[in-house]
Amino acid sequence: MALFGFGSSQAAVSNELEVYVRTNTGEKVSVRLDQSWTVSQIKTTLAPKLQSPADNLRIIFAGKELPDDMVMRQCDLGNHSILHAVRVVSKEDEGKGAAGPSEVENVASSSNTQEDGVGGTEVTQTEKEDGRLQEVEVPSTSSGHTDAEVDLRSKAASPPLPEDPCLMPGPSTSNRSCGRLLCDASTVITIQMTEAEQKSIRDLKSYDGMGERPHFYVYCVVPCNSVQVGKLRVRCASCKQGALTLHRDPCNWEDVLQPGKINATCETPDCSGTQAEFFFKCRGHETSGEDDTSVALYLVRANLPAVPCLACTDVSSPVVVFECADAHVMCLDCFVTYCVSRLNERQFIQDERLGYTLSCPIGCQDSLIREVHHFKLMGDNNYERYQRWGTEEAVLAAGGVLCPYPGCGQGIIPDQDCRRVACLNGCGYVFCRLCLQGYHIGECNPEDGNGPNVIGNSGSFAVDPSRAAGSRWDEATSLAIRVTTKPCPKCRTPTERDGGCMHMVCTRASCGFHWCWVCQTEWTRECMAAHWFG
Amino acid sequence: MAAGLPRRIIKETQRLMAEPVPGISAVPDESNARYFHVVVAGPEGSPFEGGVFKLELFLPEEYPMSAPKVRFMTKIYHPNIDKLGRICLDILKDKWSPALQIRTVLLSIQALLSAPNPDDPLANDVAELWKVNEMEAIRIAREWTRTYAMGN
Repeated sequence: MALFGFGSSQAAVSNELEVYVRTNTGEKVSVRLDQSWTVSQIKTTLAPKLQSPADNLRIIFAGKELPDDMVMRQCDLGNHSILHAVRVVSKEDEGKGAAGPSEVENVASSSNTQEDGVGGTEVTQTEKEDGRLQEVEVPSTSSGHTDAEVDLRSKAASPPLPEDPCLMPGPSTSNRSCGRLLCDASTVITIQMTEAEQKSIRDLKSYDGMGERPHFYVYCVVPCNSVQVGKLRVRCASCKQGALTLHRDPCNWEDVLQPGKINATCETPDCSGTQAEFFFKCRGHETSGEDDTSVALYLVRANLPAVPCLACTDVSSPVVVFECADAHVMCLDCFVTYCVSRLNERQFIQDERLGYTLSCPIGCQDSLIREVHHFKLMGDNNYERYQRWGTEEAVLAAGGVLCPYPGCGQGIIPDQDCRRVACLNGCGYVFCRLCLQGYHIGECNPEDGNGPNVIGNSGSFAVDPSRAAGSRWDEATSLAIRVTTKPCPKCRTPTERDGGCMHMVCTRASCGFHWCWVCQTEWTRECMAAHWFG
Repeated sequence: MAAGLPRRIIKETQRLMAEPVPGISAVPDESNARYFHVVVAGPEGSPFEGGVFKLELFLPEEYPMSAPKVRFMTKIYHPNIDKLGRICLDILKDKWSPALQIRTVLLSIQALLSAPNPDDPLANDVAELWKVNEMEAIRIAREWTRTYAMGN
């Protein structure tokens, strides 16, 4: 679905959209709309379908009530997006106390004189609709209501609010009356950048100059399986419905990624939810429903200041911006190459808190990637390897061992003092924890590893273990490994010396032990003196 | 330029040609754009002054994710360079970062000639002498420079 091209949000190919409108009473109707429509026009279209006068409807989208004069194009809707319609509840009736919405059965004629909802007169209307009756009121700007809903409504008619301090000049300026929309460029910029960065962008004016627009980016697993422009959305943390209004706009990633940071008023009946929960949708495909969400790649940004990639030096967009103090920039292609090359050398870092990850390629402090979905960019096969190795490193970090039987590699966390380890949930191999050869009594003999201790099922024929070991398909491989490698004295990773001096540095990222190929102990000054180059 | 050569290598090569580093020349091989013939002039005030040192530099497939491979072709008496011309320089090993370039590598090698570091040696005998009897070590370095790095 190429309704929106990647990276060009407003260049719609077609103006027609089919969206769903859900009411706070659970109805769901579908509406065909044109993107040039205003919210007011949508209300008029909806009124007969919801059997409610247009004036009594409030349209809520992405945590905001939309003002009547807003054009739908500004909302960044996709096909099958969901708008929320709320019927306004009368202040007067609430004042009467006992009358809950379900008990009110008044019938009133509607007087649609206030088509644009901007008037100063109060028009009170009620409407019957099988038990889901709402009593409604178009609030006036002068009546001094304190209700939050009414406040919002009033703002729609009042002069534009003073500009938000972190608001960027953007193409959508007519929406100030309801603050920033989540889809506004200013929202993206506010969340992705520090104030200093925002200022520098403004100074550079590249935001206008390059035609590059800020975006959120997500990794869409199904169906796109790629990096896509993301849409920030919000729902009630309790009932998971979208009919809620935010009490303030999100200002940074923490607001967005940590649930409960921002309070909101949920409009769903019987829901007392007060907290907003943000999520992302992929813009690359037509949404398949409310569960169709994607993970935000918070390091990926549109390259507004046109920073060249630190590796290829080309300027492209989007780019990965690392979290180090210098905020080093890498293009997506180089980021993938970087990850894959680090993965191939098994140089990912096992971090206690963050798991198996990478730092900025310059190696800056505090630059470890916190969201593993960034590694999805490496492709399915590499990501699978990444996950497997990450698991292995986690097992090793927890004091465990990996079953050395070829093709097994099961992670086992044995008792502290136990030297005899059995691969119980894997291949059944029983081995010595120290030398990773078949289990043996007495000292380990590094030169002569026992083959796997094949234990036949009862009743089957017995095979001499040493004979069986020699007939293994992998025997040639393991023999080659035994002949050409020496184990790292610390972690026992088989290591091949393909030239150079006798000073070895263990290639396993979490080990890195410096050892001597000749002594097979830690590298010392004596080794340098005696046999550095053999 | 060969097809499939990363733009970064092309750009670096162009810049090396357009704005060469003083005292260093690096020219790609005609048949292999990843292989550079490098010539470094011995820095003034060092025992290598007056010498012209040939090196080879190769950009592996993974470049710039992995470091270039650099080796002295001219014999040199230096505590951080062994008899096969291999160089002990952190940025060529674990301190490599893709933000570094051919240019920065060559500058570092030039700096290493000006300031040998006998505490992190690759050529152990040279390093020992450099520490025990620096005068003698410098004398030998001058002699080697005259013998191997001058006149051709």
